[in-house]
Amino acid sequence: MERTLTSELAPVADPVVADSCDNFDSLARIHWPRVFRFILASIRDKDAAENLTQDCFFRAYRARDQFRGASSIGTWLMRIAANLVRDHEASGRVNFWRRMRRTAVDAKEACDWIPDRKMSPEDAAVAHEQVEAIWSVVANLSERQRTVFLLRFVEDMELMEIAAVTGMKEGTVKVHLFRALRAVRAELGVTK
Amino acid sequence: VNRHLSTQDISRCLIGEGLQSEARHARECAECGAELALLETSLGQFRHAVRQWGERVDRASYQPVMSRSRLFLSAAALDARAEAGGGATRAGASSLLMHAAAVALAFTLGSTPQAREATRSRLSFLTAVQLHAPQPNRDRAEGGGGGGARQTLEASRGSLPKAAPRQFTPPRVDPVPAELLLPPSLDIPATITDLRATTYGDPLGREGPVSNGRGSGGGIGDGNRGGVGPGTGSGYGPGADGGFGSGVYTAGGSVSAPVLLHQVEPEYSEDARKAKWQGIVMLAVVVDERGRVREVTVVRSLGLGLDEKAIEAVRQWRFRPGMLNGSPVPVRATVEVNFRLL
Repeated sequence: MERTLTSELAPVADPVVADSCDNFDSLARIHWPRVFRFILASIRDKDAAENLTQDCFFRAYRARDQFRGASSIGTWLMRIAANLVRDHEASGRVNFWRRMRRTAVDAKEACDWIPDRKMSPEDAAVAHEQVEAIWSVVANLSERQRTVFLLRFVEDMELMEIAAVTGMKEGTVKVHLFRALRAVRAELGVTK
Repeated sequence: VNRHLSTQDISRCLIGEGLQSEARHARECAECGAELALLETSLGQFRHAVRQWGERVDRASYQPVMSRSRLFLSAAALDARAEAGGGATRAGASSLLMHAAAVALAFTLGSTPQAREATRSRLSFLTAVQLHAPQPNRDRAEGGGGGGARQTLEASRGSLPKAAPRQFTPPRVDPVPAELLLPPSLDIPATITDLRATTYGDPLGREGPVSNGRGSGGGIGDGNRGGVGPGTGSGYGPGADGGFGSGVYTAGGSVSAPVLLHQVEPEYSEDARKAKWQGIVMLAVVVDERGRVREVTVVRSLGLGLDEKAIEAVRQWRFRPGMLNGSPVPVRATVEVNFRLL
């Protein structure tokens, strides 16, 4: 498995969020794609994801004095993002029809990706099916399980980091991950 | 080692917490290894797909007009200012104030005499499309015509005959065969707009059975002497003689007299003051539908420039116009202007 350069390993961000505009700009440039990707995958609504990402950085900017450097900036931002996603889910629960529509449109777009060029067409088709299956699982997971799942398998975060982001204990994170994985296995047709 | 991996074990391997023995088993046992590989590749593809999607969407939506942090800075500054300035209440109040000012300005500008005049001329231009009744010529008080054939119904609706300098044949709604064929005509200005009707009639008449109207002397309408309309003469309209006009009424009967609303005192002329000249100037005027004075003629003159002063003053007077059946009509009136030295 490839590893991404998480903020843990990236030395660019100073532990103290810089006051000056340029430093915050570079911070936003580094972390924006990641935060946006996480929110997008969580709620699968392009416009709302953009708003929430904006919101996330805005909150971070306003609360930059309260950042004590207890965790990395990436974790801190992700924590804000996860909270925003949770609030969004809670507020959007009544909005049934909107959810139906955007899942229909954006989910289709989410599956519209290009696998490696080296793959044969058959393999690519299989890969597409697998991704679609995982998407359908993710859509049906509970908010916590989905967050944990995405943080682990898309953002490649360590269990400890996930615990810091979600505010759960490591054990709880593991339990959620196991449940999510069981659902994925069932969907992929792996039985034993 | 011989035991197959449980669901829990495989999950543990997937999240990177697998024990060494489990990893070894996965390498050796084909079944468990295949399962683990399938899950791993699927999750890898999923990650790849999500990342691709995120990048694509982010690239498509973000055009860096302004760097992101500048956006935040300006947003934060606005936020701080709003908090310092009392927030939404104040903003709402000032917005309301500004809108009220804008509306007031628009009304003030729109109600100046020039603007009203401009609007009116624009509107009268629009009436050329015949949505409205044609408006009589305001410059001349005379003109008009009327006719009829003593029928019981009101004149029916239709178009006016063409204009001619002199009328030989009055129009009829139901043309009668004639020995000498002369097309019916009216003595009206050619600028009058007309209905695109196939039969002759009164443009202000009503749709319905064919009728030449209740008037007399040929023509169409309630008047007489061969025109169209309620007037007298060979033109069209409520006035007299040719042309198209509203005519001038005289107060009395069902026509109410105009009431003076605004009076301007006349000045004394220099000559009259020196000569200690006093007396009364009598003027005949027409008070039009808008209460303005027009067509001032001197009935009894006083001389020494006082007539001119009287006319000058009376032209600025304003009346409530005389009314006929609830609508204002031009009415002839006599005005006395008293010149007295104190």
